[in-house]
Amino acid sequence: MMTEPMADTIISLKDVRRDFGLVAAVDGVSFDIARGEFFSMLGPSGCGKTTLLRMLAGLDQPTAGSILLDGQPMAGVPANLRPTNMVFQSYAIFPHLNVVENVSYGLKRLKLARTEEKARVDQALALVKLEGYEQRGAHQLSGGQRQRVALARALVCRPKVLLLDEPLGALDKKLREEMQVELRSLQRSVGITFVFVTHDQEEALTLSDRIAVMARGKVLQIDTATGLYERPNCREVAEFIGTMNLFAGRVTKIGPEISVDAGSIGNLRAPAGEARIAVGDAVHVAVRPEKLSLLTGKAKAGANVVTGSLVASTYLGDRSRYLVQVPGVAAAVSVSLQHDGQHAAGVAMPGSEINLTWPASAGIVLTA
Amino acid sequence: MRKIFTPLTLYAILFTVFLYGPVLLMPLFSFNDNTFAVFPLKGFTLKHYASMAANGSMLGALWNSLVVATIVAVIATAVGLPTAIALTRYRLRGGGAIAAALMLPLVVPSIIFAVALLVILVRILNVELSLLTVGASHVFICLPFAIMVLMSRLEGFDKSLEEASRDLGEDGWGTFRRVTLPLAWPAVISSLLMCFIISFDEFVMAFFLSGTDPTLPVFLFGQLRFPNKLPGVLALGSLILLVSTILVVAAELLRRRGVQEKPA
Repeated sequence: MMTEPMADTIISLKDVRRDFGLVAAVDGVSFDIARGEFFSMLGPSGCGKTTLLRMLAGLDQPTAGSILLDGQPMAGVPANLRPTNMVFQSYAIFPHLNVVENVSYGLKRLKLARTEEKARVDQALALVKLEGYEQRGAHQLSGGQRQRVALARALVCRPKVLLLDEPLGALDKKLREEMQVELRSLQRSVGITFVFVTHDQEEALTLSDRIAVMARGKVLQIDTATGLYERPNCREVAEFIGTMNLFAGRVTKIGPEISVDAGSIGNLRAPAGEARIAVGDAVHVAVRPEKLSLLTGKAKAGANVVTGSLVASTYLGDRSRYLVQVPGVAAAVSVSLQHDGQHAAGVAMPGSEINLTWPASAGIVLTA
Repeated sequence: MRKIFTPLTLYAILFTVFLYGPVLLMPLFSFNDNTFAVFPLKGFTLKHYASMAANGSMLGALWNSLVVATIVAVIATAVGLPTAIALTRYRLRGGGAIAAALMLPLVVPSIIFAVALLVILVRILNVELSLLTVGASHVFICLPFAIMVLMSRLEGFDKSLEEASRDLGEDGWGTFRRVTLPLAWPAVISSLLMCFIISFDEFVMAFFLSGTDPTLPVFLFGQLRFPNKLPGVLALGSLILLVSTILVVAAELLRRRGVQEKPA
């Protein structure tokens, strides 16, 4: 996992912007990607992630800003001269060519010796486990096989960066999970930088070294999977990655801990994060469902306690999920409890009063 | 059991007979041993075919038509392909207006174009009428058909195929040669065949714009005044019917193959 500033940058975006008419599809994006990294751009459709990927490929040009690829400015460099290759969402397998012809497509212009070309194609096909399919036509391939051909076709060119545009979106769930594992091990074995676009948060969390969460053409946060989950920097990221309970309030005291007056719920405490907060600011105290527990006896000193009534409980085998309606909070509070014997049986009937508690250190203060 | 004979079936049969009956009479009379195309049939003969083969000016007109149609088909398709690519692949400023202007010959009666071209060529440009002027006018009326056939094919396949080619290192020309053209190929063939047939049997433009060298339809029209020439015309007509049927069927088969090849 990479959280430190990167010594070896392969892609550097600076204030990249792309306008379509009056709409900014990508609205001033700057970040770096390290060599050999599995980097994902995650966001809902229309957030600009695919446009950004296409600008890296050279299939689209930024309206403003600069893109450096391995130190070289990419302005004016067409797609065919960039050291990137792309796996398209539709795979874009050439229908008039068979598997070998598809995979060797990008090698033809290199004018390699026949044996050299064959060796590289064979190696690429082996990498994606498609040996024996050399002579198959494009229309004789299943979705998963087409995807492998698209991967082999891009990797055979030995790009510095492989760009993947929702490559798993068209596959069914089981195949998708298999391909996730394969994609990750493939990336480790070839050592090429992967830039992966997806709207599926689970996919991004499973695969990536780092993830850029995007919305409305902007990057909200770039962090590791753990970082995004444990330390979201705004409500949007908090709610996009997993489930998050939010309690609105106003800051009353700032110290090593922050006190928040959450209206009818009372006073909540949370650790002071990196965010700049002043007394009187409107904030949200955020806490993940699994950090909450049911309070049976007396609350621990310094812990937060809220009271509500049980709306629904769902037994999920290894854990149970409760929805608790807390007066003064619009959305029902979600609680996830691991079964350790104590909670194995249903704790309460819907409608009964429940006290929830969490240590102050488990909360996060979100300003935006 | 499904009913086989319904009123609709009867209608379909009658419709087909009205449509193709007169056309099929032509080959029938071309083998009939009689100068006049009337019933009852008198007997089987090939002499009309012999007289056709001996009619030098008719064969000359046939040759003119074949040459014009071939060249027109090639030029219209060659011009139509880049036009179709431009209209389907690029966001052209005024693309809609350009497309509409190119499609104009489809809706404006060809007699109007014929008269207009005649005036322009003869009165203004002072060009002598010849097969060249006929060919030029035929390119003009064939172009919308070529563009339509080619555009429907180009719109039918995934644009990311061309992007993938660029991404894999091919420049614009290489992408055209290795991806666009092979995928558009069935439409190129259909366009060639369609333009050939349109030019081959076009009468109005050819009538107005041909000089001393007539194309076949213009020549045949002239022959209709002489009843004794009719059987030879019937014989030639039958042969042309046979060849066009083969061409149309071939074009249709190609088009279907093209549709099936489309990526899922």
